[in-house]
Amino acid sequence: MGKTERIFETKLHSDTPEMGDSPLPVEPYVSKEFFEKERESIFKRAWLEVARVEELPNPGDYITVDVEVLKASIILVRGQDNEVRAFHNICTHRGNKVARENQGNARGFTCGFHGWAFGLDGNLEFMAGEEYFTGDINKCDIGLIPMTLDTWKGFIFVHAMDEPPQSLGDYLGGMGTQLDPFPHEECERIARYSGTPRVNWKVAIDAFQEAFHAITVHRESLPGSAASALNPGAALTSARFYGPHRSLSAWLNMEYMPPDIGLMVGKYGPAFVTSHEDYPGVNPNRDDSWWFDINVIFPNFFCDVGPGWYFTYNFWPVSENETRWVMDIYQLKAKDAGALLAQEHTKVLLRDAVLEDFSTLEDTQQMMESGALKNILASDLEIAIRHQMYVVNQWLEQTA
Amino acid sequence: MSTPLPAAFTQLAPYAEKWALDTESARRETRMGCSQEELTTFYQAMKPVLDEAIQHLNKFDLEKMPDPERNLLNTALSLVEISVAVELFHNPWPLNAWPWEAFSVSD
Ligand code: FES
Ligand SMILES: [Fe+2]
Repeated sequence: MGKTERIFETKLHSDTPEMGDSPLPVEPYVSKEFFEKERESIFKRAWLEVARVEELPNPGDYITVDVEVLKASIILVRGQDNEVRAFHNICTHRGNKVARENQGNARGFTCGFHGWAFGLDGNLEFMAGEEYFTGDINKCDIGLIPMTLDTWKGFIFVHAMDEPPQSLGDYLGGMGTQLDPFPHEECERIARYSGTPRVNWKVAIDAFQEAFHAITVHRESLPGSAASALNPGAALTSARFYGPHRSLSAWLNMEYMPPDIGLMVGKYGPAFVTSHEDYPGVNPNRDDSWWFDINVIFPNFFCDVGPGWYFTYNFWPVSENETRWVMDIYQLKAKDAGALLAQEHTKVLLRDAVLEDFSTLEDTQQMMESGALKNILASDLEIAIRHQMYVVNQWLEQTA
Repeated sequence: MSTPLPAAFTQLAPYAEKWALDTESARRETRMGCSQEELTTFYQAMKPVLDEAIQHLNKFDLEKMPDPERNLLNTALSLVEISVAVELFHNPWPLNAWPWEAFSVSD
């Protein structure tokens, strides 16, 4: 293979693990058994991003987050002491859900079954029928069940283990360090999109961690942006591996002409297709033809950054062939109409481009399940896909 | 007139009637319900004055915009929404895309 000479090569700026170049098996993308192993060995052992602190600005603010792969519903709540805590959304009496709304502001949580009331700190404050419970029950021990929580730069992560093997900071490692300078806390959310395609979570993630597909899938929304005679395969300009995480810089064709209206509004604020200047926490290797960074925090969280904007994806596995996806787009707060119009252009273009990305997912899943193909092929343009499979297998082996 | 515009932009009135919409969902739905011809006509009418409109609007506080300015801004936001249909997709909605109905949006 590799008969013709490569015109452009992705620069690798970190220790790249020895991942070989063999085809990748289809089985991990379709097998129920494999998925059950992933649930145990990955999702129950990794830090999982669930929200941002801005979603809970005031004491008493809460949201509930379904994490299907943990079979959990989690309450995230800001206490009177301003601390954000996570609890399993389950009443310690007989197991009913305690928070039934997805979000709100509350003084506590009262179970709708027999009226037990829990404080924002999880303590059981009112135990209906207390005098009828016999046996060795201590009210202090039957508060809401806490879940391990930590935050990094305003991102709230939870962990299924009471004592995770690594702190969140250690877990993020170099990936966290690279992103640290980015002003996430100055941005505000301008959009949230979600969908639940019939697709394995890794097939879905794979579609968002290479630029090779842009030539075809985004031929309409982003024509000529990611490839040119200088880089015909839309190779990434650079990539970095940080343990299980990876950071990929997309290459931009400097001759690319953004659409007219994008250019016009892009003069007044940061927009996806027009802003390429230096900015803290982006373009870590100062590549010349740089577009934006795709940052994949293992196992299922993306934090893609550009100058003045970022967007996140959470890929929540529901089963071996169903994935709930959530996209949030954030930008620096618009200070005037021009900046707002630039934001709108970013949002609309990203939204429509993502609809294109989704066009391949269900077909790919369906055909992988046919069994016709035993292996898929991953080129050096798709090094992130190889890395993901490598890390998944590593985690499965560690706990085997 | 039900959708007043700033004095210098009154020629956009026929478009503002339809496009001065204040949410992304409303603008997207209107886009999806239009023919490509209708989108192109709106695009061609407003694009030449977009820059002037932005310069005018930038003099106003986003939070306290008078109605005519607010209408102009919302019409400009619609222009951004439909611009990708005219400039990129050559169709009101991307053809090579996952069905929109499967998506959900929280405004
Ligand atoms: S199950 Fe909650 S009070 Fe009984
Ligand atoms: Fe894409």
